[in-house]
Amino acid sequence: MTTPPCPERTRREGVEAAPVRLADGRAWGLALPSPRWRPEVVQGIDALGRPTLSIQLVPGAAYSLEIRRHIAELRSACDREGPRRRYEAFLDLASVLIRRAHGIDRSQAAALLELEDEELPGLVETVLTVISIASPPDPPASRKGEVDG
Amino acid sequence: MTVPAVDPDLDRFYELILLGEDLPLVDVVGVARTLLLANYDLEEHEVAELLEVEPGPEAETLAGVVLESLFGPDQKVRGYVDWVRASLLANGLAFTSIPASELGDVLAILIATNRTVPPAQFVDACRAARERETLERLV
Repeated sequence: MTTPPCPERTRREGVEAAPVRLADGRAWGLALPSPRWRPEVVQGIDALGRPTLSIQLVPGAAYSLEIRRHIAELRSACDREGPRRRYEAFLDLASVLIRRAHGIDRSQAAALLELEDEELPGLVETVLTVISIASPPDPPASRKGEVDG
Repeated sequence: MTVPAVDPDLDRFYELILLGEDLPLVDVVGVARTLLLANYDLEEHEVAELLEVEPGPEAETLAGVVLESLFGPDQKVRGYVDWVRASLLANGLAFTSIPASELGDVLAILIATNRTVPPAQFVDACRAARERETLERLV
């Protein structure tokens, strides 16, 4: 028999998280957006008047592409799908947010998300709050580099 | 030399690695963009989404993959086929059709005329066997 995962032991370093109480009664973390560099192409002109392209890294705070896709799926399910699909999309998102903050696998996250009916609204509220956080942490200054083509 | 053209990046990365300096993330992302656009039909916003990275391990992973694309894997195990391929490539014979029955003769001539190294210097299994033999002699 495997021992249940422990939130403190499985916590990933350096990942900001919001606390949430899950099915085992313990406080786990839902990952918050993290600082990220996003490349942008900047068009310019060199000394001889020829067009140039350079890459600029723009700092910001966001979730990874995988988490952003889960958020988009939840929004899409809320707009177009029935309660069952919305629930699945919500659980998928909650699972990926927990696994981003803790080193646990999908089945362990699923077990932690088996909440009583009266506990579910609290989790929904926390997840929606977490993904709505707009204030990014202080990002480093932007950097620029030349590219060909 | 390279298609897509990443020669200046190859030079710069090689020099930075030799000097033990960090590769600028913006340069790594720039090369990754060039390589992605050579392989996939992507819009700029899609490239930006794919190459957006978190500082730290995620950025280091991207740099590792880009370096492997440019310079090949760090710890490649080289087998007999790698030796044959490298020998033929080094002598401009890569696109020549050589019957299997004559391949041994071609390679023997390349070795005899110092146009390739013997497999014992190149193929990992040969090198391991030689090291084991040396050890056994010592024991």
